[in-house]
Amino acid sequence: MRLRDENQKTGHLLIFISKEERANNFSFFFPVGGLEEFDSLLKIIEGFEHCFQGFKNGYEFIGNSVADIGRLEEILPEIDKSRMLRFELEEFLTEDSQFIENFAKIIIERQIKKESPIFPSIRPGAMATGSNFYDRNKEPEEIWGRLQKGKNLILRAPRRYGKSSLLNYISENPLTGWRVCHVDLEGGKSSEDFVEYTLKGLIQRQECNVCLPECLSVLEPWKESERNKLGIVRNERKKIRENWQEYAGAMFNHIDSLEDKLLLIFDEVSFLLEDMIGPKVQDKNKVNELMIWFCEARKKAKKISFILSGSEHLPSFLESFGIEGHLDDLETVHLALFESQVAREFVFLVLAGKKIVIRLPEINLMLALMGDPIPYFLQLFLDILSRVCAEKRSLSLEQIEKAYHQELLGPESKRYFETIQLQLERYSRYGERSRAGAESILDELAVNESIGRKDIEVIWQEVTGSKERFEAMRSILQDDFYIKEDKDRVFFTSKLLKDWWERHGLAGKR
Amino acid sequence: MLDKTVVQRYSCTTVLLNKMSNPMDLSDEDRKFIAENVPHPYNSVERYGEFILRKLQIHDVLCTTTMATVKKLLAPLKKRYGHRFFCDIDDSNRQKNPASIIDKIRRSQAEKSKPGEPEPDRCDLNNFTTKMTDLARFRIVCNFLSDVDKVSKAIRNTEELTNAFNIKEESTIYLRPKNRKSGERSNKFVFELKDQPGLFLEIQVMTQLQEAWDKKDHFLVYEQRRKFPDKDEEIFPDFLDAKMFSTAELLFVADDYFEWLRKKREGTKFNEEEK
Repeated sequence: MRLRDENQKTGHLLIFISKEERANNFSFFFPVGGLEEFDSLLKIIEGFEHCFQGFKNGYEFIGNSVADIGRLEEILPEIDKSRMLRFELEEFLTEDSQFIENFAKIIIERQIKKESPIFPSIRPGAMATGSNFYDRNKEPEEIWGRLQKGKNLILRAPRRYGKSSLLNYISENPLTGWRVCHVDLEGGKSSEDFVEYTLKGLIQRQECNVCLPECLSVLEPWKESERNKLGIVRNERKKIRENWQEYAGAMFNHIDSLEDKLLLIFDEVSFLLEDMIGPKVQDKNKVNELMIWFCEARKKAKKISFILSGSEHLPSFLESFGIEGHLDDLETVHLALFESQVAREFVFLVLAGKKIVIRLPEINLMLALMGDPIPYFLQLFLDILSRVCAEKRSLSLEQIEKAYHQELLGPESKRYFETIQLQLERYSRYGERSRAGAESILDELAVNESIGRKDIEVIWQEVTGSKERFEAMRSILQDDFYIKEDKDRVFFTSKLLKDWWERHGLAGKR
Repeated sequence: MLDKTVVQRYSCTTVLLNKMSNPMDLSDEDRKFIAENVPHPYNSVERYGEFILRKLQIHDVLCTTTMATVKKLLAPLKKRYGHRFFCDIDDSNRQKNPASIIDKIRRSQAEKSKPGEPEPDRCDLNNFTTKMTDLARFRIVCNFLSDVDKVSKAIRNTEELTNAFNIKEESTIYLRPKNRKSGERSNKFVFELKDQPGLFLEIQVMTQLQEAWDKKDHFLVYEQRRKFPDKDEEIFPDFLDAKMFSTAELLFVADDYFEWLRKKREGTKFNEEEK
């Protein structure tokens, strides 16, 4: 991979012109170094022309030789320069000069949709919004389809798969006749918090003002500063603490009397429930109580639809504590990981936006080094590679591998993995030795390709002294560390986390 | 008559792509030829250009890559003469106008064989891409006459070009009056790709004055004569063609004088090198 040569001015411009409005045009400029690139350029033009067949109804396509792209306005004044993208020939060609159709299609599609910014940015850990919300086009459609049919949903996926980004997209793009309220339950530790956080969610949005109890809606709290909003919630806290079921019931009844439908999205349900479950039996009872009440509330609500978002193994996690989740009324939506082809396209687009030329073998190496392309970690790796490439101007395959081991897994990236420490700390609540038990399992998985399911149970038993909580921990590890079971074998699906654990986790802390 | 909306739509394409000719450029014979010979659905004045241009894609690719190579070979010369304008590539007429192509094909078809001579090698809609040598082209516009020589020499001596192409050269700069058909003056290189015989590209090397004359002549004389051949008496009653021819001679004198002035200004260092 290397920085693109921005100085070359002679090249070929591929132009796409809307048939309906000719000012609506976009183009790709390919600088050319000389006759030695004749075959490559021909391949690129033929490839793009072939891809173009899919968009033929709306657009015309034409190639144009350009002596000096800096003087484009003199030759082709109607070209929209703001929508002209510069690439190099090799970005669309494999090592054996085959055209990479997927890359061409994705960039044409993003141009036609006028995605802004056209290239996804690198924002590790941040919510993916706008055009950074990548390749999740089908999911919102599917989710709205089910909601329209009156179904309530549970969105399940391991950590960092992009659940919150998807839910954010849904809440920002509601269907006509719907209000949406996105409630983040992270930090909540009780049923009262569940209600309070719901209230917090409702007062954030203007369109949800009518959903508030009348004494609050007249205040129009969505207009207020965050501090004042907090004050309003604090004032309601007493009423909620007195009888959370009555407060929430009244609120839901009021919403049910409104004309428009409300979609209530409860994000991070797993965190709330995990935090509610403690060693005491009465805590489990409180979770049971909440789940039963919430299930009844869902059944009763006519104008409210619900999406619960939680970890992939939420039901089995609850089950391991002997808690009936009362989640059977919810239809499950699984959020799958990027397919490897989508991950390749994403890498190509992100780096193209950074003016970096990357070839397929380099992308394949990146993905092989990481294992499953978990969006957060993929972004981290891209962030590091683009920074190192900008410094060195080019990176060989060996240097990419070195960046993985020394930069991504190195001490400077430690802060990006801080959440792992927080996750481990959470495990202590399931028993004094639970954290040590989980760490020992991860130790074994980090130094082996896979281990038998029975073996990890033995490890747990040896470290914690009992079989208790093993099933719960198994579910949590699957979500937090991307551990997978297949044919009674257990292994890391994220090679990155396996490598990270091998380097930083096996420090003999147990 | 053309439908007004068709002309408008066509004009948009013309303006945007700078490639298609205005349908008004077509003679009645050309229009008839298009309707009868260009395959459906391109056999109309508004669509024949698509048919022609689609066949020229490879020529455009050849043009881009050759231009890039020529730029490389010109770079040291431009650096050497960095104290003044040396030369520039003009790619504003890279592709032969579709109307001119149709006109040329039609004439070729109509060409009669002469008694005792073999049949002429005629162009048609299927073979014109391998018969016409100026479908793709660009110019190198130089400051002085000696710059034209330097650029031409560089083209002749660049291995990347001589390895890739069979090159034919024709110079009309220092042509005797008896051999001259028009006022045009240039060094014309016809490149044929060795790997793909029949794929041609033309490079014209000329001075700024020669190019200025050519651009005016193209509009004032060449296009008129193309549309109405053998009617000089009717289309140029004011002897416009003769005046344009004479102007070319005047500009040649100017170029020659500028060359003399340049030699004085640039001094012995550059003149010695030229020897």
